[in-house]
Amino acid sequence: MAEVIVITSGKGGVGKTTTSAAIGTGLAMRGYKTVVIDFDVGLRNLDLIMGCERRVVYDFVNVIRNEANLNQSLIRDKRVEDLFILPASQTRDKDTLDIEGVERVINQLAESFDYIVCDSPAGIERGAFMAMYFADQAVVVTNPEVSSVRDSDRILGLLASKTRRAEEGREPVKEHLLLTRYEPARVEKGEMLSVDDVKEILAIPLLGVIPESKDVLQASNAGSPIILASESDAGQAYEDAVSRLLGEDLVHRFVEVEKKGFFNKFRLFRS
Amino acid sequence: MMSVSEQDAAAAIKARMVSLTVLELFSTDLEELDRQLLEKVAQAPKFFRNAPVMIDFGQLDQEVDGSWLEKACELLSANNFVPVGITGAEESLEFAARARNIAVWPAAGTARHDTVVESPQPEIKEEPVQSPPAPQEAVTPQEAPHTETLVIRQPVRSGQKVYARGGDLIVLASVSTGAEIMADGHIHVYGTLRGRALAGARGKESARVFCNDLQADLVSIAGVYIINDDLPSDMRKTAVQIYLQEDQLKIESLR
Ligand SMILES: Nc1ncnc2c1ncn2[C@@H]1O[C@H](COP(=O)(O)OP(=O)(O)OP(=O)(O)O)[C@@H](O)[C@H]1O
Ligand SMILES: [Mg+2]
Repeated sequence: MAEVIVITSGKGGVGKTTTSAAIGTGLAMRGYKTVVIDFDVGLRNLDLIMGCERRVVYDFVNVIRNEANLNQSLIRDKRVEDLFILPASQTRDKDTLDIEGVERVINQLAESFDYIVCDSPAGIERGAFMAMYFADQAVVVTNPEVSSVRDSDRILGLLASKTRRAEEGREPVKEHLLLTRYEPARVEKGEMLSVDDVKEILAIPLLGVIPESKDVLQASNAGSPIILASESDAGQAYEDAVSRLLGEDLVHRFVEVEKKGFFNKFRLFRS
Repeated sequence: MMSVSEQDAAAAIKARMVSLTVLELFSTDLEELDRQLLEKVAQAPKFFRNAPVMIDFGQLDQEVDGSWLEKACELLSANNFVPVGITGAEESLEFAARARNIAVWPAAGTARHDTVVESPQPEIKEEPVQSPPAPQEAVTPQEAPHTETLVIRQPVRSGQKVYARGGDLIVLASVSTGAEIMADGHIHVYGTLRGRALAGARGKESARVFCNDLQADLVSIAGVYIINDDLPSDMRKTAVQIYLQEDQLKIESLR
């Protein structure tokens, strides 16, 4: 039985798509057959970040409308085995998704995949609702600032009331907090909320802290998920997050300001 | 905790409780309305001058249309009231109100009549009663027994609203800023109270608010309220109870 994971946030531009690509890739690298679905109909970002935009023929909306079948629309990743992408349409608007259609596609994917990762659009409207409705788990992507935390709180309220699990009174959606674009130096100066501040307000388990890193933009420009950049701290932080998602208990890294000592004059690579 | 974006903002949007004059209609006779309004205003001209008015159609069994609303608003303006909204009206009238740029509130019954509660996203989350016994110390024998106690086990998140109609509310988790909890009786929050808590929502003045960590946006008892800015600093982030004494809110440490 497949596990459906929604990557959501409320606020826009906090790193949902970056996270969807990283976590989807990470799960596939560990041997789980994984598909990442782009629910951001009209914008289409995921295929760019995952470097397959040139290979999109049919999309999620085509499948929902029975204009194409799943096999025609799924794009197999060229780098990682067991990784597939179901791209969004750039030419339609969000209202073309309907809940029965989404359910049909997810059920069909569930027959052959271990993980279905849903990249949610921003906002708390229809698109975000569609992306979360069938979720078993939710990764709530939050930046360390007040408005993002507020929106995440709002999303957590919807996860607890507007998902199928909630409506059917089943065990609630398993919630994970992923704090991204974290800058310990700015936290120390009081310019950003700290990990503890955010944890205290949202009161859900912390899946990981992803540091702010120039490597992220570079990776997305190159169409290569950041988790594949194993020398990058952001890539390593995503690796850790995937491990925790799979149940491992790891210490959180990249949450303190690096001390400038002798050893920090070198960079250690892990390749 | 501070946010750069907040500092740079040109404006802040906040929810606030306001007191409104409510005009409850029992008849559609405009002439009679005009006459009675004049009378009322004559009694206390200063009090009513430029008072914002919400027109409540909830008690009215006749139907009225947009042009009636138009005339009623003109009549109010002529008597130096400022019509700001309607409530309890038919849907067709709600269109007319929107066209006139005045607000439409959900039907009354959730708050005392001189208190209007605004919520950015009315999302009522009511749970069936899970543990009926009311907290014993809070109930004095003379009082009528509480009909229901609503127990909420999960956090109440921003944008959510919980209302314990006719009884007490117990929240075993935290209440986020931007969330609103209401009860006709007492409110107990065993986590941090960051949102809005309105006890005695239908006017019960003996209602109290208890919380483990006071950081509320607003606390109200029977319509008397205090906002976050005015919370005494020695009571912030501590366990307190809040109650009404001679129309004043008292905040008392529970330690
Ligand atoms: N850890 C990080 N360090 C630096 N930049 C980051 C990081 N995470 C994301 N970004 C950048 O933030 C921007 C937004 O990221 P992304 O597209 O993943 O967000 P999103 O939440 O999917 O946005 P939308 O709401 O528009 O869908 C991108 O330019 C991305 O490169
Ligand atoms: Mg995105």
